Amino acid sequence: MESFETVWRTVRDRHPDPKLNGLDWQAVHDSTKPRIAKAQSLDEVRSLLSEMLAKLSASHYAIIPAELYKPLTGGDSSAAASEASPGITPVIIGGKAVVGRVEKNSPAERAGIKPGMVLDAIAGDIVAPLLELTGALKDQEAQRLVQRSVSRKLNGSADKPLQLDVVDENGARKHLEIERAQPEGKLVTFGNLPEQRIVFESRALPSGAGYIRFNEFLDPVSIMPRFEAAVKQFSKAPGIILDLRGNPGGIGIMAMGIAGFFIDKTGQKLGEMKMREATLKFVIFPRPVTYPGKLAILVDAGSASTTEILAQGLQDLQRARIFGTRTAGAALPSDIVRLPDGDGFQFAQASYTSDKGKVLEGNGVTPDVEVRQTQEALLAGHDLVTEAAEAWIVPVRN
Amino acid sequence: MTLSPKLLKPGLFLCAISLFCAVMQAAVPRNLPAAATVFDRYIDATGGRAAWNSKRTERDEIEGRSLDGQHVLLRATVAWTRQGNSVSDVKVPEEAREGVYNGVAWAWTKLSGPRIKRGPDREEALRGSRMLEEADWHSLYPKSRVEGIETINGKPCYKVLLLPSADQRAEWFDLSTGLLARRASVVLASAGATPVSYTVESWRVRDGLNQPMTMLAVRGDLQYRLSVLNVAYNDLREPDDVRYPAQVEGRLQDERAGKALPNAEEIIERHIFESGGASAYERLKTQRITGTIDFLNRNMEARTETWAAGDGRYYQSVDIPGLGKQEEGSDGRVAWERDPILGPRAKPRRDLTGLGVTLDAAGILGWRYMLGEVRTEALEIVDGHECYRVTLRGRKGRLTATRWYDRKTGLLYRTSSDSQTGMGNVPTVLTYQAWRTVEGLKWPVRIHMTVSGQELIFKADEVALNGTLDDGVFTLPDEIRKLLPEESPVQ
Repeated sequence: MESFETVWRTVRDRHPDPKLNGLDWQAVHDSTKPRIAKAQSLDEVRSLLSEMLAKLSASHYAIIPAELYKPLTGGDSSAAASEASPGITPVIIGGKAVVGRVEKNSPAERAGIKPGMVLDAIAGDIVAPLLELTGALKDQEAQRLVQRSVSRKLNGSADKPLQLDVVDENGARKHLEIERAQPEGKLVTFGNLPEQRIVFESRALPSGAGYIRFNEFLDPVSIMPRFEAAVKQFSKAPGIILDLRGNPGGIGIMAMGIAGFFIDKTGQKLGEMKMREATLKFVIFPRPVTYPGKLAILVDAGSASTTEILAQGLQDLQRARIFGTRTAGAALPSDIVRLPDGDGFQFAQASYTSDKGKVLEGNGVTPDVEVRQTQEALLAGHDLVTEAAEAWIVPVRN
Repeated sequence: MTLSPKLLKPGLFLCAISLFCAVMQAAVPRNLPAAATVFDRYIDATGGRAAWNSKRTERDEIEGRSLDGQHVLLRATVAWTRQGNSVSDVKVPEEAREGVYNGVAWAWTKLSGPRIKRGPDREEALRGSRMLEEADWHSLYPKSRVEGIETINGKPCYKVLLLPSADQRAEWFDLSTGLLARRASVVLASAGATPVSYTVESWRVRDGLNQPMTMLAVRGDLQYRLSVLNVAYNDLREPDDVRYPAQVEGRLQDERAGKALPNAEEIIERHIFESGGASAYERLKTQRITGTIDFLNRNMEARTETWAAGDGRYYQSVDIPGLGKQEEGSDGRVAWERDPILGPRAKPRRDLTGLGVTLDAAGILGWRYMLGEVRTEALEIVDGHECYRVTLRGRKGRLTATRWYDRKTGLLYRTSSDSQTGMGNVPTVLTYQAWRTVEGLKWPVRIHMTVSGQELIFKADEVALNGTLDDGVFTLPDEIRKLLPEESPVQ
């Protein structure tokens, strides 16, 4: 009953629309309360709460069962970023947890781990059940959450080697013991957010296109000058590829800042975020020097929040072409609180619409060019998404 | 001189009302005459006692213009009766009415509604409501005396002190003509004492009475030319034409029943008085404030500093861990801002909505020029403080802010408004929790801020007012200068 009241009260106080789209929330409370009181099991309570939340007809309101919530958060999240890592970035492809990227000079690279290998078991725990557990959630959200969960399982103490079972390119199952080391990137903090590792890279691709990637919209003091330097470096390039795959977002106004390097006209905006107290316009302030060439943005199911705001906004303004797969559809400042019964309750605090009125929450950004990474391509050393963007920027001539 | 609106508006038309009570003249001996002689000569020179006494009511259309004639500063119709009732209908500088009826001094402005005047404001109004008082000087100023001979506009004049007069009234009469040359007094109102004077420039005879037609008016630092456009005698019906309007009557009844809230204008002016007074704000020339901003429940604390000079130059920075330094400023000509995320920008206009602590004395004192209506809505408890809730609306009627003034201290306790930002209007609530007296001014040193739901606490470390500032802090940064068009006057 306490969990029910927490959920009901949270929606009443935090939903971006104080009128809840005309829904009589008090009546919902009064009709649901006696049914909760009569519930015989936790599953029945969850079902009733989900039924109550469904009346909002809004995405991102979910009851996350404790048994799912627990492995997803993985304990003390504040320590996660400072943990040692084998240097593996997992991705979810075809219902499997697959090695998406291996850090250079990392323990994983030295142990022979290659992109495309399947992560079968981590520290003795088979990964497959985790994938099944999240099947109930929306596709992109599931991928994002599982990806995060697998990452956390891979990381740990530097004193304790990782016990990893993988399926290699030949289909052979291998058991490996891999050291963990300090991962790449700068450790940063921002308010109450757990410490995060921020990685930034930029390089010129063989095609001449510029390639920029950063893993979160945080640490603007160091990221923005590096981004500016990269844009300046690629000022004569035929195009720039901005790789935001797996980027879960961060500080919202960084989307405005990044967009300012590519938009030279004042008065344009990426979209609007409507909170209960105010509507904030994501206005683009053009930089003194902007990049006029082609811009490709790479996204996947792990791209969320600020990433989606930037990608959708520039797509609306026809300034960028989006490559990859549909994004997470989690473009809002959302929060997850623990309920008294141990379950998690996820809720949105604002609504966001892009400049053309597209609701990102629950829908995500639909790429202009859908490109799905495959395990085979990874094994063959190809990044299909980057290659598709490159082909658009620098068309291959026969 | 430059006209200063903040000095012009309060009570301007009241002074005009009291002017048209011209004075008498005496004979012209080289030895100083008695005041009675000077006054009687003036009555004779302007039409004689019979003409003066035949006027039961008077209605003047008056206009005040800047000395170059370009700007109308005052336009009003002023009516008096021998019974001591008066009504002024003011169109410029703001729509307002005020007067005295049966001893009740009242005012109604479009800005703040009806008000019953008390104390010095009432006394001043009563003094200004005397029609053609020169004819009654015997009873009004029985102890008057001639002080000496002074030159006004190149002509020798008797200087007469009108005694007793609380407002230190003095008048100068031309030795050769007996006509009034100048009148001077001190306006005594709750806002403070202001010296005023009127020097007569031309005359006109109407219905057998010669009266000043144009005058050079000086009120504090302000000078303007006052003209009587039209005069009509004995065309008012008493009491109908001089009775206070229904809103004032309602207000009077509420006050008598103990149900009335103070007029919003009085509440705002009280805050100015309690926080140091208008003259202390006028003396405010520079400001340097340092402090911190604690983002409550966000585990973040920013350092902030504000520099401001009274000529429009300012600089403010807020250094937020994880976000970097947010800066904004103006060198008096170009306003700008920059931060690590959005980069450098020249701003289209000055924006001082940030912390609400930036120097803006002109804005504090000249609040009437920015607003179209202020109203006291309620007396309510806020955080345990008994506060008057006052609404402020712009010239077009839009609600611009709601303020709560502490009934006990008279100081502003809370203000709620929309802050204009580049991302849109953001609801902002500022609660002034602590003040420090610096240079005679109470300055807020702890402000609880709610900005779009986010709670912050500003705490001042150092508040330095009227100190010498390093001008370099206001210099445009190079990257801002580069953004400006080449033809910009900025060097």
